[in-house]
Amino acid sequence: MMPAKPTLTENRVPAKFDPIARPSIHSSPDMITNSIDRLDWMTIAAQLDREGYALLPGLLSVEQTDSLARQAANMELHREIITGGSGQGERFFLPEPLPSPLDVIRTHFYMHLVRIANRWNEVLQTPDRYPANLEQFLDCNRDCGQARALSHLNRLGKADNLTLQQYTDGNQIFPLQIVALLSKPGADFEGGEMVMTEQRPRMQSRPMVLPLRQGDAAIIATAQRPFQGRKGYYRVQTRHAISRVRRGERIGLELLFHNAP
Amino acid sequence: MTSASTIPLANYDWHTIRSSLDDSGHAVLPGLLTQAQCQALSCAYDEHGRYRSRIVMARHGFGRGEYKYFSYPLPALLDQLRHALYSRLVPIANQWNQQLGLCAHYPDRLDGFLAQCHAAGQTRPTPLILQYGAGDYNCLHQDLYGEHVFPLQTAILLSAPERDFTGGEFVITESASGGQQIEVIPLQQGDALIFTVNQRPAQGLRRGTRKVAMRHGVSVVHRGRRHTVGLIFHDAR
Repeated sequence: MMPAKPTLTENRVPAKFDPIARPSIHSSPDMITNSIDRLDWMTIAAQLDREGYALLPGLLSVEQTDSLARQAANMELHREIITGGSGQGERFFLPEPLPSPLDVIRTHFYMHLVRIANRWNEVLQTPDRYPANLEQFLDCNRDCGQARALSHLNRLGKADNLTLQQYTDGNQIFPLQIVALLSKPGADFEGGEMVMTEQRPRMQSRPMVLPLRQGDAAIIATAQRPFQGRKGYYRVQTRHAISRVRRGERIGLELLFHNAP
Repeated sequence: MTSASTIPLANYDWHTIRSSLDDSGHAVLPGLLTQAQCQALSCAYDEHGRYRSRIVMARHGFGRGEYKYFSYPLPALLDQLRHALYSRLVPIANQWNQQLGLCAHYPDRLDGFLAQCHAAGQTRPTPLILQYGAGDYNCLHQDLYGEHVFPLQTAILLSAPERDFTGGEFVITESASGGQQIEVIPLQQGDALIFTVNQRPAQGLRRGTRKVAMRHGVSVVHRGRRHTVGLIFHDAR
């Protein structure tokens, strides 16, 4: 008998994957969409406007983080060794459609974040507007030759780090993305902090350390966001990095809404 | 206050500290100051007569929060620490300059180096105490105050993380080979961090030496109050 797990993406997940969805309350698509809808979106929008990031404590359950972290071990085919200017470590690009529950999470977050993204474009006087749902946006991406999926897991061992980066290849860039921590700080690893920098015109960069625990996620500005100064809005550049891992192994997740060329 | 002999610099393994500075441009001296010494310095933040100026960071676009430069004569503890640390660090600084092909050679003692600074018009003391409250931060920067630069400096955390404040992590960036690497340095109350002021030599990717540019800053303090003391060895114009 089939276990009562969600079937939304199950059949489309490559056979190589363990199905991530467990027959638990956490992974039912309805439960996920409901809990995303119930987030305090007013506060999230205000935090994103002010800080360029908003924390989502406990977005993923321990079963989900463990299951996702195990995927990395089975993803040799999708492995990219990170070297040189990008840092040191491994990245595992997730094939589309994303494994459950990440597909539901990404699709449903897009529906909420698109309002913030369009408002940001409006105040920055950028004419582009993002379509209401992710499927339409990804169609636009493909029409523009952006077909390479960017969402990935990253695995950093001792002395590894990711340098400050932005995923900004192509014309279709969604201004927000999600990052999450799958390992347990203190137990699984030490160091490996998620750090953002924000650069305003003619000013030094502001560093921010995002306090993530296992299963916590954050919505972060991908590359540019409006900042309200005394003389109106101006554009600030944001980047994010993972500081050097001092001990153990750190597995992280990045969900991008746009593709790369 | 404290006599020079009670500054426990000899208790640290300077071979390890030197390796750490050569490898990463920074090194931690755990528990350099006692809790009582930290509290005495923090509590004196609001005293008059000890400081030559007060800087409100937001006015200059440096960040949010404030700091004060000490006047000469420095508090005895800080004066002794500045002299003692300089003597330990000067061989490393001279080696770095040699590796970077810089001709400046630092005198063996701090007084000799300060005489050079003063002759060049860098006469104002740079040791400082910083105060951050909730929402405060310090942008990534380099403490340069004129032509004379000693390439290492020290920051001492006076407050206790979790008890006195949360957030407020010490962040160092390092730019080389097209990427900007980040370090977040965990410090406890009384710990001193020795770190690079502006640039340091690093092992080249194939061989030889490359130059690495470094900056430091403090991430936003979420709660409470955080004090640090900064000991910069060159003086300011």
